[in-house]
Amino acid sequence: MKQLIIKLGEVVSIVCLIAFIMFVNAQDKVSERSAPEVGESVISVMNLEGTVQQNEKGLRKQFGIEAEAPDSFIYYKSEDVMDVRELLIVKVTDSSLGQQMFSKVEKVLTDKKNLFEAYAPQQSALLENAVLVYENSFIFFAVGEDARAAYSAFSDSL
Amino acid sequence: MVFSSSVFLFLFLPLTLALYFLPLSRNKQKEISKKNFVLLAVSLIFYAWGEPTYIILMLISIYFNFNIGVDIEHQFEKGRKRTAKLIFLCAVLFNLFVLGYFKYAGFITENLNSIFGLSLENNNLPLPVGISFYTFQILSYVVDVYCGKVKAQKKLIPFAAYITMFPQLIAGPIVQYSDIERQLTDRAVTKEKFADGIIFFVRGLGKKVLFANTIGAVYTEILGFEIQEMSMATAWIGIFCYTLQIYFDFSGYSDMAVGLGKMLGFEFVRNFNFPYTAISITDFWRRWHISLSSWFRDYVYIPLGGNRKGTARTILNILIVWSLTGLWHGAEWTFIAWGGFYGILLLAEKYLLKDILKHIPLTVRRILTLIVVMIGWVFFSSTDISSAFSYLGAMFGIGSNPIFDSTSGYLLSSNGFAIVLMSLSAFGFFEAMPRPKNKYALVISNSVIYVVIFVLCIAYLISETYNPFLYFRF
Repeated sequence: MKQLIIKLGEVVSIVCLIAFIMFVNAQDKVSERSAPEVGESVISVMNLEGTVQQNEKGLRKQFGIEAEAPDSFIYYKSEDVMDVRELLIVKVTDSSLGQQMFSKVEKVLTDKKNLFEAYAPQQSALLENAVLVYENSFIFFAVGEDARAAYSAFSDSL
Repeated sequence: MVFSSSVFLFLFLPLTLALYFLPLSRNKQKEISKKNFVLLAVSLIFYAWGEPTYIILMLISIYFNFNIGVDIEHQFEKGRKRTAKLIFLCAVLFNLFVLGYFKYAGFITENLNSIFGLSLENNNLPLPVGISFYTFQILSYVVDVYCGKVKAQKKLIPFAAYITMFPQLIAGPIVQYSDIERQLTDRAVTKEKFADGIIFFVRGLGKKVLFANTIGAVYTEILGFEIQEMSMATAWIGIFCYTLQIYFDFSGYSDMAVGLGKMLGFEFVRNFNFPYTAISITDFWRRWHISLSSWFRDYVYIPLGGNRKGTARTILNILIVWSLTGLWHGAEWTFIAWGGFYGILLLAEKYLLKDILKHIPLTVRRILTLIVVMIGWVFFSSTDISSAFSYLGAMFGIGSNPIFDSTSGYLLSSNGFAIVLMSLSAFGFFEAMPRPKNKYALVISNSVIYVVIFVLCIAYLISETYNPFLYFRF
């Protein structure tokens, strides 16, 4: 009887593994595209005039994200402190790192909302309508009049 | 969840210790069973914190291999050696399939597509955290049961606690079942052991938070420079910073794991022994990630025949082991190149340089070994092979890179003190310093030192929120 339970346990485990593989394959997958590739279609619909593409230092300075952690990224930000428009697309295949990075970006967004809330209604409105999502191993963050359109372009290009 | 986070330090760890040490029974066996259950429960929470989906994969793996262990032993008891062998092979295949599918399938598909012009679909699944570490622990158990080195674990909870044990689940050290078998059913936490655990933990936290994060920021800054414009000195400063970062990051994590293990009554193997003081590459690998080298020696190199089947076979075995060591670190050609680089160096040391090395002064050997290790880290840290060679080109002045420029001067003047301090620590200088001989003086000095380190770490953690561990990628 005990031996039968053991054999049954082995078979159940294998069946569960097959079911799990089917389950994860049906879930969100890591897109094969890199952040700059995805970013191309996003940039075409988003007004980034006056913003400058940032390098690893810019990414670390603004969000505290180390350069070696993401698989790839693009980041545009204005040099003008009153211009809140920005676009960040980060690809990160490691889900726990992705969650940590998402929290950092979320915190930056919250801090900015609090900062502009009291005295800059225009900027505050843009920040309220900002899009921040983590899907298909990408963190997408856009602040601007066309943030929604940018998000649609992002979703379509995955 | 990472050890160097406020959630872990101020919520998870205190609650875990409270539950773990909450007395339930005077019966020692019942008390250990309760502790194992608590350990399993909190470890699952720890893993699920960042990886809620893949906890299912780990549980399936645990349940399968638990049954396999009992089954193999049962077949041997009945005298069915061939059936036991068949079950053993199935288990090895199962575990390699799990690791291969979730870690290497994308890499294999990508390379098949590019070599043969195929268009096979890439599964593109995220990498389950710690899969390389726990799969290797499971394999060590299955192999040891099959070889009769250990008895199969008959209770699921101690076995699951062994695999999921949160101190070493995500980034090692790889604890072999034979090393911990007895501790799963018989262990005690003394005041001295607990205090020792705290010291190890705080030391590891300091290595990670104060050293690795600080020097990592310098390396990140250097990564932002254009390689074509980088001076030789900047390139060497950059890779030296990475050399220090990866050591403090990984050995810091290992120290924290050993410390937490001690607090819970376990003794884990030492994973680092001042690797940058090594006098040869062979010596380096006796000091760096010791648990991984031991695993490959015990479960791959020796079963392949080791050095017992002639020179040609030994060379082949070494190359296999080191290619696999590289591949274990990640599904990237850079890691395979890094492993192959060490395989070739170890062969050169074994067959060509053995006599020459004997005549070189130890200090020179240490410096040469460190330079070679730094070259290895270039492959390890690069995103692809061509970037690795570009960086090596900058290090050796191939192209129009100047030897020294104002950036190098700035990097040295602004980070020189930190680099010297960390180098002294990595080379074991502080370890060799004389300690107070009086017991009370030793306790007081240790308390002051480790309280200061802990407070500094907390201050740093509050201001710097992002601090991933490099070895979480594996």
